[in-house]
Amino acid sequence: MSQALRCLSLAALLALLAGCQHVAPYEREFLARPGMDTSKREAMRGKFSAHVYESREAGMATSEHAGGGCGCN
Amino acid sequence: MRLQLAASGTAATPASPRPRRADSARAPSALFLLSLACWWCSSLALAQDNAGSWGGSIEGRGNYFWERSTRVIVPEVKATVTAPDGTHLGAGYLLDAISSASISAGAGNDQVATEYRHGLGLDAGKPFELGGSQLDLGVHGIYSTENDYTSLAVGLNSSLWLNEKNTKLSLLATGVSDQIKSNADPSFDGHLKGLSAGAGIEQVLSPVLVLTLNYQFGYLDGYLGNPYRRALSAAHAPEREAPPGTRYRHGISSHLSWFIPATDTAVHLLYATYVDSWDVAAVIPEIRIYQQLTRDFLVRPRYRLYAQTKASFQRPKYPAGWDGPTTADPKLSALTTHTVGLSLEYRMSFLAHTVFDFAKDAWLDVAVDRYFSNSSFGNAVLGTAGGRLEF
Repeated sequence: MSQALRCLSLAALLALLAGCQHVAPYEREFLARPGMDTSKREAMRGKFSAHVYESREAGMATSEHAGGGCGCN
Repeated sequence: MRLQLAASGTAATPASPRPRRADSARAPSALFLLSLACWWCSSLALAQDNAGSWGGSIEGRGNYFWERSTRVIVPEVKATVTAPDGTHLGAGYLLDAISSASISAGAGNDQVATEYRHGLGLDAGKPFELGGSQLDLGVHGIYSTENDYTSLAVGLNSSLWLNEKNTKLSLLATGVSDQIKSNADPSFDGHLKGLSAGAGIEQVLSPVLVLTLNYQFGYLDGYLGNPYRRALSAAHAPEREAPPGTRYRHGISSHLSWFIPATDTAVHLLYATYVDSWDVAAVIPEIRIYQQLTRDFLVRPRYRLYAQTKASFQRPKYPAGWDGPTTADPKLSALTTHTVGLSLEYRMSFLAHTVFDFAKDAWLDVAVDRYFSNSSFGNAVLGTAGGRLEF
């Protein structure tokens, strides 16, 4: 099941990449909407969530965090 | 570090002795700070010749974590300054106030122990124009200290924008050095070194579609347990857990962002998976929907699923004669978690043309996540509220 899901995901991603088009700067109105351009607004609260997940799930601490706090090692 | 002990219901932790300082971590952190300062000063000198304006951002946030026997409050702040030539310097500070029930207090005499962790983060970067492309180079560092754990992470990051910023290639490498103490056993002295490296591509697929793919490799070497946890054995009294001394992981993640103009809706589909040398494998699908209700008001529901297999050496109780690695860590068992959350975001554009015009693009947000887990940690609630101002 897991293998099939991975293959399906990979196939979908490749299909998306194959169909990509060049987008000029003046065509980026929708990409600049707050709902699409979330990286800056999500950065800090995303780190907090990630820190919680690392302390409660087996994922190792990522490069965005120092160790410690919540016994995350 | 005691948080995990209290939640997992393992052995007791006596009162903390005087906190120790990790002297060995001071030298590299001071060197790192000095390097950042020198680099920043030289960049500012070069920036004098360039036309443009200064900018930056400041963000403050209060985070809250609630679990059966644990409460965590995390106020944090970060400021970034950007010079006219694009050189930027950021600094952040956070305080982790972790309160958990002390098992050593015993029934009928429950006590709450509170620990504090201080975290300081610094980052700097500079963009370079390469013909039609742009290269961003940066360094980042995080120093974190609490009475029994000191950590220093330092890394390099780079991004290359191509094809009129339709494509972004990213590289990242970070080294980590941790020193681990035990308030229950002053003779304990653990060390942990780590390396994380990643590569990614972000591709604009159409005027409403963006795809990001990342690969990350992580390697840890040293003490990978928790000195307070005791692994149960059929043959003898519980002993300090002793997991393997190394661990490496391969992970991939994808993020597809899709904007639907007709309804002002942005749908974000995320999928990540990893496998590590302890035979832990996980899948992490997530969906976030940003719905713009007015020009300045967004609501964002989200759902995240996390499912993992257990570590190969994880046992509830180790049989007599077991001479392999041991752990009492609940998060190394097979587990599934669900996160359901809601976020509200508001842009303060009503301040335009007032004395507070500079804050018209500031965002305020509040979010609550409900976290369901079938591990012995149990369920939890995450809350966060904050604001971000760009100037």
